Amino acid sequence: MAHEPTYRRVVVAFDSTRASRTALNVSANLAATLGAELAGLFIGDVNQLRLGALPFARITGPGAVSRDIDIGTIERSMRRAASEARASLERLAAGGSTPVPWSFRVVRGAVAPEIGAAADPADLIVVDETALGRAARAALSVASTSVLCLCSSAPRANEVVLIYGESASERRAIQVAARVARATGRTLTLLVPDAAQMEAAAATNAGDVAVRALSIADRRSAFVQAAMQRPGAIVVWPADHEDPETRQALVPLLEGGRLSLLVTR
Amino acid sequence: MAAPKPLRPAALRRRCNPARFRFRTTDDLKDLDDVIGQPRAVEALDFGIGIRQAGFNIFAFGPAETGLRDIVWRALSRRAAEEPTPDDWVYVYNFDEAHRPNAIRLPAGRGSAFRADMERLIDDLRSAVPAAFESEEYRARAQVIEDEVKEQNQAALQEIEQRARAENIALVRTPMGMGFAPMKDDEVVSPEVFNKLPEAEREKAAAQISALQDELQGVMRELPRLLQAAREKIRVLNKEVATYSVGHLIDSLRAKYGDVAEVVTHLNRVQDDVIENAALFRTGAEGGGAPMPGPFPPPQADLETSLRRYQVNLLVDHSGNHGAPVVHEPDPNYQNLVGRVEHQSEMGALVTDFNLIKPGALHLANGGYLILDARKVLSRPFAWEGVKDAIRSGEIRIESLGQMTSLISTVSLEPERIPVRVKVVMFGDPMLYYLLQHHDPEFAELFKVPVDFDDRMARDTTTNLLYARHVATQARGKGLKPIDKEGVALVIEESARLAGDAERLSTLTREVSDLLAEADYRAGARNAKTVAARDIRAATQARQRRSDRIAVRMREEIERGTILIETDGARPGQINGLSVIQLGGFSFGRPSRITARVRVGRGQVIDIEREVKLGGATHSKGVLILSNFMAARFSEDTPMSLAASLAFEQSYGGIDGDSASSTELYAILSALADAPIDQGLAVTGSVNQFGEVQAIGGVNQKIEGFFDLCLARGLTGRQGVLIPKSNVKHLMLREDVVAAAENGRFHVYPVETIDQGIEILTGMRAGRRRARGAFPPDSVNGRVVAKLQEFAKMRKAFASSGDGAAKQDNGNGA
Repeated sequence: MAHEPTYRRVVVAFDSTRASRTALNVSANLAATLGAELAGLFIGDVNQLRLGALPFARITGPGAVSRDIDIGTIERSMRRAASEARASLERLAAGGSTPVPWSFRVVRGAVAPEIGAAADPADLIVVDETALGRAARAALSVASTSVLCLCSSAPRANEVVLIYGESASERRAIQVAARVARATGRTLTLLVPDAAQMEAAAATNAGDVAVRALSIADRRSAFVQAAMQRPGAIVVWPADHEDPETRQALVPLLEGGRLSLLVTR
Repeated sequence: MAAPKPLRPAALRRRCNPARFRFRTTDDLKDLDDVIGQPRAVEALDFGIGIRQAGFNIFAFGPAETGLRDIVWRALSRRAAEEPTPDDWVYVYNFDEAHRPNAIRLPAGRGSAFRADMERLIDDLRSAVPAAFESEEYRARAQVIEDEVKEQNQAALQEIEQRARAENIALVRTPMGMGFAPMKDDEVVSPEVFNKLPEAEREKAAAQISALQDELQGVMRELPRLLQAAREKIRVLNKEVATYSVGHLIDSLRAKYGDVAEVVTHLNRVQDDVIENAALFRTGAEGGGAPMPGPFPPPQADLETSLRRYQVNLLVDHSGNHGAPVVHEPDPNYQNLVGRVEHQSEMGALVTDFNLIKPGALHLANGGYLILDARKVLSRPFAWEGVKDAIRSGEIRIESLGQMTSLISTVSLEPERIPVRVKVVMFGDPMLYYLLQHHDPEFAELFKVPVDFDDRMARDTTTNLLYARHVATQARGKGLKPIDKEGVALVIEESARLAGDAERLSTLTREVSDLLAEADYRAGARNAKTVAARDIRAATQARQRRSDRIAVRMREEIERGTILIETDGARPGQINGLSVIQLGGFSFGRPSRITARVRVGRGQVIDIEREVKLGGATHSKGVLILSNFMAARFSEDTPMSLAASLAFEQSYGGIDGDSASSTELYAILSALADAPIDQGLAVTGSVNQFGEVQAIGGVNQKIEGFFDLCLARGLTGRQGVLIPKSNVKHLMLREDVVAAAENGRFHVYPVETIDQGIEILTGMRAGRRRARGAFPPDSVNGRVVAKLQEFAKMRKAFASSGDGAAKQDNGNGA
């Protein structure tokens, strides 16, 4: 068994678009499960501020109605969003059976770089793709630590899925996946491309989390296929699996709101 | 005609000879299955129960003590057991008009099965519908539809975004909407940088952004249409899935109840409704989230409330019943008869649905018999109208009194009317029957079968034996000890006493039943295994003692001289009359002193009771009759110059009836003839215009009342009572009175005419007219004539003295 990964903080990031209740809940549970601090990171998107400062700034809102907008309105909406996010975080941190230590920070800048800059290797970053969109997906690449990109619009599934392997990064990924499964109340599904490892995979110790080992024929495409058949699952992916083809295959799943992705580092 | 002799003791109480009975105790007798002494009622009842035509409902009337209710109940139960069990009735939701629940008829016993089946169906729906919507197949198909919309929308947005990016313009998402801004190196350019751009570039960017904005508006306008189309697809999918999940559940019920078309129709509507409202099951299954806190949570159309519409309200359940129902409604108010719609409080408002419809007695008795107490029905507001309406229309209409009287217009339920076929059997006093016949024109149409219960039956050797079997049946039925034949004989005599007639037996079975119970108690007290005559006798005496406080009090006051009644000596113009006082179920005879005073006058007999309005009409009639008797007998050719006054001394409570008219006549004759009346005698009997003495009621109580007074003062051997001869057949006197007569210490004289009576009372001859029309001068009648002639002369002398009043009197005649 590899050395069990530890996280000092669970950093949940959001901007002013809307605070993700799913991301907040998952983050609070993870923080409690991991014994980590729950750190809120509110990013005031510089692009929104610049839009508001332009002389012809207009937005089209619900109902297809267009109207002028100014930087004051953008800033007020950001302040209100930050305030609401902080209140939600505080409430969640104090509301569990064991209160979780928490912090909250507001920054301004581009979302993905700010996420990358705010986290250190001892952090687990949680973002919601439904809320942050392209920036969330970008964070998967730019961050130097593990990133869980949730898709809160995906149907609720009951699984955390990853490929079983016995390298250090894969073992670490299994450990992280087990904790995420415990924090989110899911089972752990190990997809085993090597038939010889089936027994070991089935014997994986994940504490009180149910573990299921499934044999797959091909390491990459079968994995993608299995992930596609499990909409709403959290797919765990060690960052050192440099496999552009696979990663490319996962992008539409992310963008389609079909699954959540945890990249472990 | 000679004065009659006192009656022989055997005539005072017609004995029942136990030696004629061939049984030893009532254990030797078989039960009597038939109703005793009510042949007319039983025949009418059989007819009323048997006939099926409309309007032949039954009104049974007679004294309650006859046990008519039990007789009716037994007759109906016997008949009902042979009849088919009627159908069950249920109320179900009306999917077209919720406030008008539908009534469905099912064969007996299948109503409860239908209710249970629907409960099971609801349980199944609770799990089957959500399960269908949670299936992988449904999720996949729904996801495809959602993805389709999302992809179409995102594709359109991505297309705009990509074209914008190609022109170095970024699509920026904000909480309030989306906008476009010039971009450089994947970042929106700052205002400072933008403002430094040449004006042409700025204008170009502004124009590009304006065009993109228009396109974006177009895409966003399209979104609702896409969503609408998606919703329609989801709705079709939901219907398909719900139909699949519900159909097979309801199919089995449709097959099971295929023979009841209304049930099948209802099941079809249930299926349609479940499919239409499938989302409700999914919401319910997901729990709907935490309830809103606070004292006033908003009302929610939760799943359980909505599922009530699929329930079945089993109104009438005949499962386990055999035969037609026989229902007695002890509290026949309007709602208890026709049913009611109950309400329950919800958020301070009263709400209801078809599940809260409660049956009335008419529903429960439908197809059978409904027994009602007429007095109660008539005393409950609108209950009588409710009964008549149901019989007349052949339907039961459930509505509140408020609705019925149009006092309340609140929207409530209007349950579908249920056809009713019920035989209504009302029972009550004869007076109620006659009043309804007289005052309610519908009564005769709706209650065509009168069942008239008699309070007495003939007494002879055959009926004595029947009565003995009736006593045996009663004793066994109540778990009493057997009664020996002497006891039975005494019960029969008491029954005759109860009937007030030596030739009749009482059919007031409850009275006899109570007597048997008390006698059984007394036999038990002396550890006897059978009830003997002494127990019957003791019970009879004890029953009388418990009720005779007023009678004893009045007798005591006579003995103490507070009430002046003489039982010895002789006085003219004064006589002992007899009346009966009825207090509750107890009656007793009371002697009264009646006095008459005579003087010259205009031929009037003044009834003092009448003058002060203490005398009733019948009593006045008796006085007028005796006046005319006197006028006809003694003043055929001359005016009556008599003024007589009659009074019931020390009577303050009113007098009615003519049973004292002979007594009053004796008093006047005595006063006129100055013939003292023996105060040891008392008199009862009415008189007609020919001087014949006629029968009266309560003869036994009257005799016993005077006997008790004489006994208290000491029987002299000369005391007795004059009764009409036509009352002799009614004599069933107490055993102690009979014993006194046997010893010659008390006498009962049967009198046919006034002349017979006056001879017994005065000891003088009455006197008969001789050939020349005159009465013997030493007879009572002769002395009456002489006195009247004397009065006439006095009146004539008074008139000739010149007094105007006298002249006027003469002018008017007598």
